[in-house]
Amino acid sequence: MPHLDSLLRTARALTANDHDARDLVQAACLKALESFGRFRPGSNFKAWMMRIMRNAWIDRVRHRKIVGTELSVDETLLPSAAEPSPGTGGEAGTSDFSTMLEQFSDQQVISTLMELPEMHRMALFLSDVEGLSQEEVAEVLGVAVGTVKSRVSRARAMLREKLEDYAREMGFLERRSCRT
Amino acid sequence: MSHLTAEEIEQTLTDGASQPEHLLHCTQCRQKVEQAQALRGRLRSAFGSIRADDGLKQSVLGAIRGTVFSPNTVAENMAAAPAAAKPATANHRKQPLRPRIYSFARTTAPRVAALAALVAIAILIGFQLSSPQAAVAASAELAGIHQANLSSHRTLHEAADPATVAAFFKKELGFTPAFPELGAGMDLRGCCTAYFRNRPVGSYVLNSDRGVISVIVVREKVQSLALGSTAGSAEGRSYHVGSFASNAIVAAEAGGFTYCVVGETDVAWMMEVMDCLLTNKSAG
Repeated sequence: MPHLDSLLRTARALTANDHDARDLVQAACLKALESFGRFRPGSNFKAWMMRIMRNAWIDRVRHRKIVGTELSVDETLLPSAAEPSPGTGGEAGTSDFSTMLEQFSDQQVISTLMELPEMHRMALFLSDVEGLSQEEVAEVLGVAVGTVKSRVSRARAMLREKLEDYAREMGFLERRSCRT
Repeated sequence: MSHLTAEEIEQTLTDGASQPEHLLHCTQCRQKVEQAQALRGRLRSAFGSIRADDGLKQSVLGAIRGTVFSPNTVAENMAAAPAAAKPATANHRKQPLRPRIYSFARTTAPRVAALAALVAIAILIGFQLSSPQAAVAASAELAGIHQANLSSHRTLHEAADPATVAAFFKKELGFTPAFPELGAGMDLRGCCTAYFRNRPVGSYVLNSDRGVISVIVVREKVQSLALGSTAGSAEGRSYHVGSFASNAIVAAEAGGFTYCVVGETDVAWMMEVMDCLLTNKSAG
């Protein structure tokens, strides 16, 4: 079935667990069928489905009265992606970094991504994993293209920093290779 | 030498082939781009292990069947894309086409063609599934019928008089399901026919102070729905309970039919509604 794998992956990225993810895929498919008349011909069907899924997730979170912090976090309070955090300025060589990434299991990579705030996580996920264009990510997330760019960049920096921290803790990465 | 900004690095990643000249001379920026590409590749491979299994495909298929293969929407959607709809129409020969269908087809044909493609895919998946597996999709199909009942596309027969409703179902289905007892915060929004496992079924849509619920009456045995668990009501009845997406489902057999209550509310209250339906008492 087209996009079902993508929908499940996106649901996992939103919900962080398999049960909720499957439930969300089902709910999103129902909502998509209900509102099919609003699909714009020529637009990206996958992106449209993902937007529906994200809205369904927001509805569900609101319903549970546990509105996520992603709605209240002011991006201006976060460090700018253009100003890397200390020690994350790309000091590690690319081959070191690639080798380090291969040391992590798939689940560890996904779990680390899940530690990022939703607004950053989803921007990076939709862009890097699902391969949506910045315009499509902007449409799915309901934000400006410029915001997508900054979120993706910031998310990538945060993820890299977290993975490097874990790599050091687990002995995959020597301290000196990254924190020079 | 000024380095590339984060935005320029993002643009480089997006553009792919076109690399700024700065990267040829700046090791630091080149490393940033390469690390971002490595991270992207690792993320893709990590998520690549997540794939939809047959169980999920079946449940989504059930939802599509329940929602799309309903009397009103199937006629509307299939009329717009006859080629893709052909396999499904064989199961729904008697569906009347209303005049507005044709303008619908003209104005939104591209959208509906895409939907019809989705339906055709669903049919293909359906052929791949064996009948024991199809039982798992029952809750999805029931939830799909309920969701379709809530949509503006669904035309409901709005008579609230039990005799008129009975005549409607007799004509449409060949049988008359038990009529829900109304009052005490519950009223009939309407009734309609839908399709469950490609067979016509009757459906009451009820407004209540707990939200809208559907009572779907099917000919199948309740065990065949494979809803998952059983629960006892205050009246001592044993109900089969399931869920799909955010919809709860409570089902029980009576008079040779299986009555299924579907709604986004709590199971205990739905069992009370079912008790009322089956004992002809007022709903609470």
